[in-house]
Amino acid sequence: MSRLSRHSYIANRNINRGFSKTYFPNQILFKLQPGPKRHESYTEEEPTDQPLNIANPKSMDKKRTELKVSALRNGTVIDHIPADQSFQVVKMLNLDESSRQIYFGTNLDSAKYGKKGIIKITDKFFESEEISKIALVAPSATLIEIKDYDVTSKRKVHLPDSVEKIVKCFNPKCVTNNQEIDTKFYVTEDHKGNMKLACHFCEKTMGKESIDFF
Amino acid sequence: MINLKNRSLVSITDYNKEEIIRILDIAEEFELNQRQHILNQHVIASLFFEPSTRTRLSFESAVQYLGGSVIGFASADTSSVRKGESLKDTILTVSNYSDLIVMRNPLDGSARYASEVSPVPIINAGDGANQHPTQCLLDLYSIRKTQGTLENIHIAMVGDLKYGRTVHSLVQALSLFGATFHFISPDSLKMPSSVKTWVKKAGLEYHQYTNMKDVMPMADIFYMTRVQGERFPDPLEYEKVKNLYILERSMLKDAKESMKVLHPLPRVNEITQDVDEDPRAYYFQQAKNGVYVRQALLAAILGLR
Repeated sequence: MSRLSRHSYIANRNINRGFSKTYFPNQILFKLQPGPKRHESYTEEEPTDQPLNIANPKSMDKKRTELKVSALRNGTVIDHIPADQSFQVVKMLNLDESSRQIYFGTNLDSAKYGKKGIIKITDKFFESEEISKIALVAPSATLIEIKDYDVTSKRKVHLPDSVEKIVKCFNPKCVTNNQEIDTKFYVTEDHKGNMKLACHFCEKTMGKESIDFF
Repeated sequence: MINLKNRSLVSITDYNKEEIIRILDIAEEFELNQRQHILNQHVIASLFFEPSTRTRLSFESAVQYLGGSVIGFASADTSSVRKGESLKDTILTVSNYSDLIVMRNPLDGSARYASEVSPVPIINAGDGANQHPTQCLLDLYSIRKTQGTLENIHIAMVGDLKYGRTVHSLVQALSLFGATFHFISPDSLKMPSSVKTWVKKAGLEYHQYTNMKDVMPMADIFYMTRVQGERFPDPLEYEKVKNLYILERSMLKDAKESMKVLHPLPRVNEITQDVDEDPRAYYFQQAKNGVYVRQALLAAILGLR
């Protein structure tokens, strides 16, 4: 088994086992290569047998900064996930129960975000409802769709104005928790700029820490 | 022309400033001439899934002063809810028998849901700890009547600012009129940040205190609230704060002559009986104003004003 496929195996195995963070070698990394203007490509670097120095990227040569796990033929990369939300994104998207091939990395160095998480899922393209979910826990995330090794779309997720049927109200006395009613929330901010969800029905607002998905 | 026909009232924010003023103007008309039989042949459903004295009786009184008929129940125990009927089914059924539904329900958000499934308009008479917009309208009516205006008043709100739904709605409504807010409460019952954000977004000032004395000279309205034991998850917390704010007549010596003491009632011990004799006590008139305001709402929503 090559190193990359072994990593893939480990990642899949551990995801299926319900995530033990320590099982993930931090060298499970991948990066999109800029390709031709109209036709970005997703390429793969030869794997190295040496542990990767991700703590000090400047010390690495250019080639080593572009290391990555096996190329994705078809699927989606979720990049720029806040590191502390990486596991939450996996759980929320039920990736721990998925039979697809999934690559996962967290606490990776990022020039822009400090630390970040990244998830690569084969043969998966997200629906708008799932993208709304991602935006709620990882508003800085980037979605990269790949078809036949080419990047066909790359975009930032954005917070919707409202979300329906995907989040439970944290208020046990809310009518939605006591009758068969679809939930609806408005996405808003408090005076400190923190994202809040305001229940359409009970009007209570909850922060990210209280979000519980169906 | 402001037209409120068939417009449900679930939250005070459902009506804009002009619509609120319109309701208060109609209420003034009913205060001058209360018995007008304009609801002849109209049936109003009064669905109280939990007990209420003032709100239910003042609504039913408002309907009867206007010559309408009331059907309904005063407790969930005497309705099909006891058999397990859903709120949706109850609303859809009762809407077949009535022109408008007045509803109180212990679940937060139940009134919004009812207004979305009901073919007839809904007036929210209190949905759990969430909204009680008719109380807010009668508070506004009382403030305007006693101060001559709703613009730029200084209002002190005292007691349970965390769980008290009336103060939350009143802050939202008075924010439309440029009020300055003085919040007096123990730390454990402070005004929620969502309400304070509302004030900030309106570009208005609020100040927080733990003592009533400091605010007394500057307030136009002293809005007292009952610390509601039933809203406390921890009974020990309730015991700690239940007697912290008691307004006595002697404390009014520093207050403006024009200041008025309001209270949504029922009071327990937060206003001593001797305050009742002071001309600044206004809470019983305030409750009476509730009938005029509810008459105004019924008339406006049924398209009769």
